[in-house]
Amino acid sequence: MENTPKTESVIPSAEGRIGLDVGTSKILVARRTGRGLEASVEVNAFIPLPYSRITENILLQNKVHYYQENGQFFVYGNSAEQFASLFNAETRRPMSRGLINPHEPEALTLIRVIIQGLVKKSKNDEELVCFSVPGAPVESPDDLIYHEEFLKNYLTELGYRVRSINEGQAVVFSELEKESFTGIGISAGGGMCNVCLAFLSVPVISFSVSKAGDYIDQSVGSVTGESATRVKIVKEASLDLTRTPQNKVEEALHIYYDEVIQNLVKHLNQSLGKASNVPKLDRAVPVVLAGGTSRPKGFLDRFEKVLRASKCPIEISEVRISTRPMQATAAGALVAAVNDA
Amino acid sequence: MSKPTPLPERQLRKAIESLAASIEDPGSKLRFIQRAIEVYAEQPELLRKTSTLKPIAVRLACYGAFEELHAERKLPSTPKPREISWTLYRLRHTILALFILGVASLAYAYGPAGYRAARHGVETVARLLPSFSPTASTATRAASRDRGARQANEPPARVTKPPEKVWLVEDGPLGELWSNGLRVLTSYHISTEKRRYFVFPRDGGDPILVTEKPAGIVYHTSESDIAPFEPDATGSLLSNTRGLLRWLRQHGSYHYLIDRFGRIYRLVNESDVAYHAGKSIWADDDYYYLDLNDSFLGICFESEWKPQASDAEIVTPAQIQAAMNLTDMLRARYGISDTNSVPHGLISVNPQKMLIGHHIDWAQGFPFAALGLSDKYEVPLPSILGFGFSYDQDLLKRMRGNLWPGVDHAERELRIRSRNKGVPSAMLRTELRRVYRRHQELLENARKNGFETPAVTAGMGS
Repeated sequence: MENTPKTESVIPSAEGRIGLDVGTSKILVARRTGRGLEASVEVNAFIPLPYSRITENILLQNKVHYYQENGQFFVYGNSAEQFASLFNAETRRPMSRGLINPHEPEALTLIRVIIQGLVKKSKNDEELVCFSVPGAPVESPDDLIYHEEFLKNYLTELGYRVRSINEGQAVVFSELEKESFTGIGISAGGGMCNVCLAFLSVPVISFSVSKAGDYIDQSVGSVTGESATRVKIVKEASLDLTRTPQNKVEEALHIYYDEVIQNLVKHLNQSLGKASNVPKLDRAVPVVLAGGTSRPKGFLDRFEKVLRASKCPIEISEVRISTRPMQATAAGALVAAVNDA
Repeated sequence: MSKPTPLPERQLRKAIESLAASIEDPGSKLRFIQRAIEVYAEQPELLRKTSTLKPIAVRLACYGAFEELHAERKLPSTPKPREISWTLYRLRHTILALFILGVASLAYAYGPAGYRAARHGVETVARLLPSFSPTASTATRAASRDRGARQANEPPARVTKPPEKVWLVEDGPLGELWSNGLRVLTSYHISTEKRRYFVFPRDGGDPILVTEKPAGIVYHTSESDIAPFEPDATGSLLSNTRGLLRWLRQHGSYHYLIDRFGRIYRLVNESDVAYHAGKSIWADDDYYYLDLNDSFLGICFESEWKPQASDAEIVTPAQIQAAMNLTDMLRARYGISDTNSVPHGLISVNPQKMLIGHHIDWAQGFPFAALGLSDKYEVPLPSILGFGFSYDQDLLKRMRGNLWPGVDHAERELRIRSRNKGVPSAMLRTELRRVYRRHQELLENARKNGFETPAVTAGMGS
């Protein structure tokens, strides 16, 4: 059973600097290691299992990440989804809509455990972590302060100097370097879609909408009778938005993907229209899509079609998808960390 | 989140983008862009708001940021701009000098009224164009900020003048008592080889051989095991010192050790050489000193130096008091100048790579004021200025990005010299390095033949 964080090469960086993407569905860290530059990921979910000797043996034999508390095992990270699928149960999430889940009693413990597994304790007081935070949600004035401060305090406890960066801005830092960090970065993740228009790296507008990957999974699950976890696995494994749906689940996925895209474009146009500080641009700007929700084949075409058809207040040069959609936010946070003197 | 930054104007954006295009590393590019926007915001309003002057503000901002990153070695493979404005920017100090010369001529020609008008003109220009004043690199600016932050923890500056005379009051079996209250424990000291060394006149004259008299003092840290300075750890503190003394005595490493309780041990006779400074360079007004084992006394604090730590975190108050008394005694006894009382990190070099900062103990945070000494971190570094040494990314890393200002001052002075001589600074540096190697050859030959050379011989060096 897969239990170790996956590793992929990302971008140039500096030693002692870490980029951390704290997402609703995944937590991802980008940094330089002895082997070069790497990103590690853990699913930000867990599943509680009742205590028994047999269960413990299974967990130990499979080297699954877990801890034991109050007569229960808490299996977390990459193993949690596989166990949930095995038992046809739902995973529980420490975060919801980009922020710490206020309805999950184990939330803080689990986030601490997962982050510590990925980041480890700092070896010296010069190491710096830059972590991502969502933009202010347009639908509800949720308070980001608690979420941001909790993460800041915890990473400080681990011995790091800490900075935070807006998730959309991190995508700009990671993907729009050739455009001198000017353009729109969109991180379409599990809990939220985060958007940032930056102008020479300076954020002009940033916001988030909570219709994203989890919304698709739950909505599809509720109309098809499948568990959201199973829908998520199907979505990530085989969804192709360019081909005709093959079954009921795919049919529903197409429908809810369209709704997420429509909603995102609508809010993007509204925010750009309302903002008074958007500078006069003498040329079109690019849009870059990143995040797990942007991964299915055909997402880019659908998004571009809807965006071009809408009355976008600024001229768009191109819409492209990140070459590393899952790592873009962490990689951008790493660029910000490297940039910190 | 970082504080909101004003959005760059169109003209600035174009200039930034044109320079940023040549920067490959994303982190460096981001840093350049953000720094250029900051520098632009710092320009005088008159420059930014006047349409005819705005291009100057834009260029000053972009080139200032670009130059800073170059100075920090963040743009190793990025070519410098080929625009004429870049050349003008690089010549800005010369342009300003010519302007002042013109103004001075005007003053001379028109008497007091012209002088007043000229002075007013110069003051206006100086006020409007802060970027014409030399730009400290980000590394040294950051170091200045850190020094400011550390000041709260620093021991108070010395209030009494150093005594003019310090004499030996008592020399007993337990040690010496000096007239300024200094007590020296002498039971550990050894003899090595007698002091003989060359000094190299700064005016290029023949090297001079000096015997016996030390020319200066180098301050070190022991980098040994350090127990917390707490009553509970007294046993460990004492046993650490005992172990350290044994080791230092075997190796003849320093002339003096100051332990955590401020006790001073003489380890090597003052007339002998101690092996504390290795390859090193320093200078006073008259001479360059190379390989300071031969010429300088070594005082070691039993402590562990860390970059960005305050002196209060590195040494105890008792050690500072003891160092003050010891310094007073040595300076009074040998006529050692303030200039030649210097921390190890500022003198240590690697001649193979021609780099400064081979050892970096006390490269920051030395309690100069408490010892009644001037701040040597501000002195243009003689190894760079006199012999063309430089620094690398590794030193910046070890110093956590903060080099002392003397590095920047020396680099700047070197640039000015090369400009005045009309040669590229790289060529001047190469020539200076050649001089260093010639001096080194002379020293090696002198050591081989016991300092019997045709060079001028003097009883005292300074």
